[in-house]
Amino acid sequence: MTSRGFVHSVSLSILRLAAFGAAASLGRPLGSVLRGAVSAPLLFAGGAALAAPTLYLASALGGIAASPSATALRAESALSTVGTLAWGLVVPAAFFSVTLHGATAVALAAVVSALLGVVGVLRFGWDALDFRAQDKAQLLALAWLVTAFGLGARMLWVVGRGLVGGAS
Amino acid sequence: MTATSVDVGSAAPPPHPVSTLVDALVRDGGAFRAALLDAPPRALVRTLVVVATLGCASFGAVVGSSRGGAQIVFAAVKLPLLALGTLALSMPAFLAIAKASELALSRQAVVAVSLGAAARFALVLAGLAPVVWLAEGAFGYHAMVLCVTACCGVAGIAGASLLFRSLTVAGRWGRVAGVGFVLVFGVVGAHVSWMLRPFLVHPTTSSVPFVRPVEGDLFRAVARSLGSVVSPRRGDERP
Repeated sequence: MTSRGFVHSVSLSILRLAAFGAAASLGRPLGSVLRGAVSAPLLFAGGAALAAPTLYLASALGGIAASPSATALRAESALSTVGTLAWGLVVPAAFFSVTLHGATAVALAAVVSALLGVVGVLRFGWDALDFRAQDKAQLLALAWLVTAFGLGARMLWVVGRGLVGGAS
Repeated sequence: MTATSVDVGSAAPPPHPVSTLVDALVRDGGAFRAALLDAPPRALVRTLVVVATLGCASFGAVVGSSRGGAQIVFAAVKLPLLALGTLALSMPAFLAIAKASELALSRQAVVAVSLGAAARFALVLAGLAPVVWLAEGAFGYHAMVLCVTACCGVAGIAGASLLFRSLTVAGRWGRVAGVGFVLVFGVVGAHVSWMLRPFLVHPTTSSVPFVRPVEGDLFRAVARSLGSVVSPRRGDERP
């Protein structure tokens, strides 16, 4: 993939995530809609950026040939998958944000964001690391998985409240 | 005598296309699934929509008959709206999940498989409608809510099985995509059903609205109905 194609793909994913974030906050004041449109790309693109260095480290120490640029491509691929899913969820998210309020709405937004994060993490690490190996590589892969989920949870807590809280 | 009956049998007209489709849907045959996945003809898609509409309408009419009157018509109109409306709201997500899962399916095939699953869901509902009518005479209101929910669960499993079998052959992540489809359809459908309520009305209700104002959500209402079955004294509350 060329660097132009990389930038195009990442930009498209960010736009799709912004649309999802805005849709998930529809029916609220304009400030909440804007906060949702910013929070969703920040949550997932920021999460991918934070998980990338540790993925590279885990694959390099585990003896898997993966350059930093290959890791960046995997991050782009994972973000593209999450962006595609988020784009598909724009209509249901808009429907729910307009018609569902209260604690259930907040819980639903949190669960959907967490599920998208899980898909992104698995997509990011699945082919890059060797989860079936019986040695150090498997340990490192599992350690990365725990770290990535931890980072995702922290991102959801810090950044995602703009998205999840927009539904409250 | 034997020769006559053989003659009559061989002269029997071929089954009607809709009858063939219904049979294929209920049996969930491989050839039918292949037809759905491989550039489904427009006529087939149209027939699936009609089957889904009629199947849901007949189940809705029976559910509405527990109160009778206008509720029979209301429920017969709202149940197809629920099934097809949920499908319409969920379709963008289905297409995205199919793409993200790298399934070897065209957009038309995703739409056809989803419609096929909805039509099978509706056919099973229609088949269970007499059971609901039978139960109406024996059960109280809250137990009927659970009975109707159980019928929807059985029909949902039947629809989902067609979906899973179709998606599994379309790629290595087909099963995961199927889980995604079912999750999205289930959550959206639950909320649409809540918005279009009431379907099942307490027999003593004097007047029935077509839809009630949006308040609360289904998940809390189901918890309340379960509580009412366990302790009937609290059963006077209507969801």
